[in-house]
Amino acid sequence: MDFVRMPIGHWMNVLVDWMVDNLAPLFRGIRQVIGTLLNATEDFLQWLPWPVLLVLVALLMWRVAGWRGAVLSALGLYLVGSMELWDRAMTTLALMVSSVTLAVLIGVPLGILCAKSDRVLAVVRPMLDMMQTMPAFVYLVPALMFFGIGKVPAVFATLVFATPPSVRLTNLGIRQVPREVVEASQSFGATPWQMLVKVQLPLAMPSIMAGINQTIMLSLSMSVLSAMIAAGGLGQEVLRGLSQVNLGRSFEGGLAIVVIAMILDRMSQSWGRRKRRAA
Amino acid sequence: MSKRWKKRGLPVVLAVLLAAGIGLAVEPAAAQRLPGTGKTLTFAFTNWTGDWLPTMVSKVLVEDYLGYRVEIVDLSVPVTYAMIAAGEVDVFADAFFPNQNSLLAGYRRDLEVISWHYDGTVRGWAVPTWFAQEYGIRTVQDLNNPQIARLLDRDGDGYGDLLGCEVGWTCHDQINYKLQAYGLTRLYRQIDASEQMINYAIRGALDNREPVLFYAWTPDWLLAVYPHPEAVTILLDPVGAWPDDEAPNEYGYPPGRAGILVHRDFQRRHPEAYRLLSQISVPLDAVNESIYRQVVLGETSDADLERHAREWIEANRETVDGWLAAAGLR
Repeated sequence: MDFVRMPIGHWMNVLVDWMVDNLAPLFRGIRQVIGTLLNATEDFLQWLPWPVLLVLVALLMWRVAGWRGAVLSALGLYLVGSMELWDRAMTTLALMVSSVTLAVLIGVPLGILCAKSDRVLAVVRPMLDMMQTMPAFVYLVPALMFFGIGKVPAVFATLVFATPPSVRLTNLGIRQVPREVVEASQSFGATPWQMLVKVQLPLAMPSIMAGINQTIMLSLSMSVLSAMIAAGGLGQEVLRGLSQVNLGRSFEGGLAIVVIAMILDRMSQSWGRRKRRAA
Repeated sequence: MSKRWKKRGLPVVLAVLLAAGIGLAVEPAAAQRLPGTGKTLTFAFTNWTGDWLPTMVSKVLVEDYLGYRVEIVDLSVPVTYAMIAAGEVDVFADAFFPNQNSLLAGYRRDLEVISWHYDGTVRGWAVPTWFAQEYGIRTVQDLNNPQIARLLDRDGDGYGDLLGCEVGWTCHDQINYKLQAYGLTRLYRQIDASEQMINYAIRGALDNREPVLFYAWTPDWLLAVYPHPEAVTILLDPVGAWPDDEAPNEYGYPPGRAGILVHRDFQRRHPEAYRLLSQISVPLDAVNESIYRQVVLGETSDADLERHAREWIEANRETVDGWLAAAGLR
């Protein structure tokens, strides 16, 4: 018995070629929008004097994670600057902020839809599985063909990898709202919209924030891969160090990524916890 | 590319002014009509130490003498070819052949090499020199010995390990072709890994004085740090099996050469840059020295790399002036 050869690879080539040929205006539009958002964010972060950002972050951390978090984050950011990686770190941060914003804008509404309809969930879930497990190199090249080089395809690749947890945990959070609470609000005459905004979303918030936290972490883990398609940032530092057989240089780049990751992780986690206490 | 200009803000403006200022100092009358003023050229950099000098020399010259701003983007080699063909990237100043022959053939209609840097690079299989002497290994064929294969088995799978090329590179397939042709597949396996990981494995083995068989070439950091024949010995390959019709040298590989790759439209879109770039030719020993300075002396910042290029230009003023004259800039 032989296997029947399915020309899946060929279909994929045909599909990608067709998309490049026929959807060019759409991709140009997306490139324009994401590019504008990204450049504005990066310009702002690069323009911001480092002491200002450092103090802002420390204050935020003090609010959400106490004085110890504030001191550690300030020290961490100072370390990034002292390794001469501030500009690169801001590039990575801008990429992160843009990617995470888009991931949440797409992921949370999609998660709500999934929670409302089992049929939507049945379609979306396998797609999420595929997005998270398909090796990124496989969609990096189509991303380049659609969006050209630079930061926009990096945002696209990051979205593919980092959006799923936002969808999953929004869906989960809403579905876990106790049946009695939903019925009680129905019996008080809440419209579906009121129920969503005033009952389900607030109760699901800890779960949603956990999803966003994961989205942030996953998008940071894409920063080295993004550097392979000219997105720059800290990932570029890691790659250059590797090519120069200079472990120390790679390590500094990696360390700066860890600092950013820890700050964003603590912030989004504490935010989720505060919400939980409030609820 | 319309939005690139505003990305870097003030430093860019200063850099452009500075570049224009240097142009002014050189040729005051021409400063007003530098053809590249306000235009950006995108150069690919494929994250390889040997790319830097040809890339930086090209960058410095088109910036200083033509007024362009050059942006360097990090891309892998296949992506570089695809993006030049797509018009996203303008120049790859360190295209390397014959390794990239198949890529160039794939984009033959869109891409062309407009100048050659150097020729006659060495490639081959190498072992530590002490190991070659102790076991009398001089040629690739001497490897055909189970005892030696056992000594070179680093991962304990029963086969001698060849630390070769990154999976997906042409030279990875070339190494497997040679293993096959010499009947060495019963004793040896080429490791499947990325270039950087292979680099670290080789370096670790050489520093610890362990037997190791690896693929080496110029210009690259490895032979800059561990020179042939003092530290490592490149094995001779008198049989010279080769998958294509190029003629291999004594080490069993056709000599490599590097050049500047652009789109066929480049001449029409940037005629002055085309004329200048097609003169540029950076010699092999200069590239080797640049690699040595990066890897051994640790001069790896962007400023260091640009300084290497400027120092080389100053040290070879006559040659460079010759290029400028031929490009009509002198």
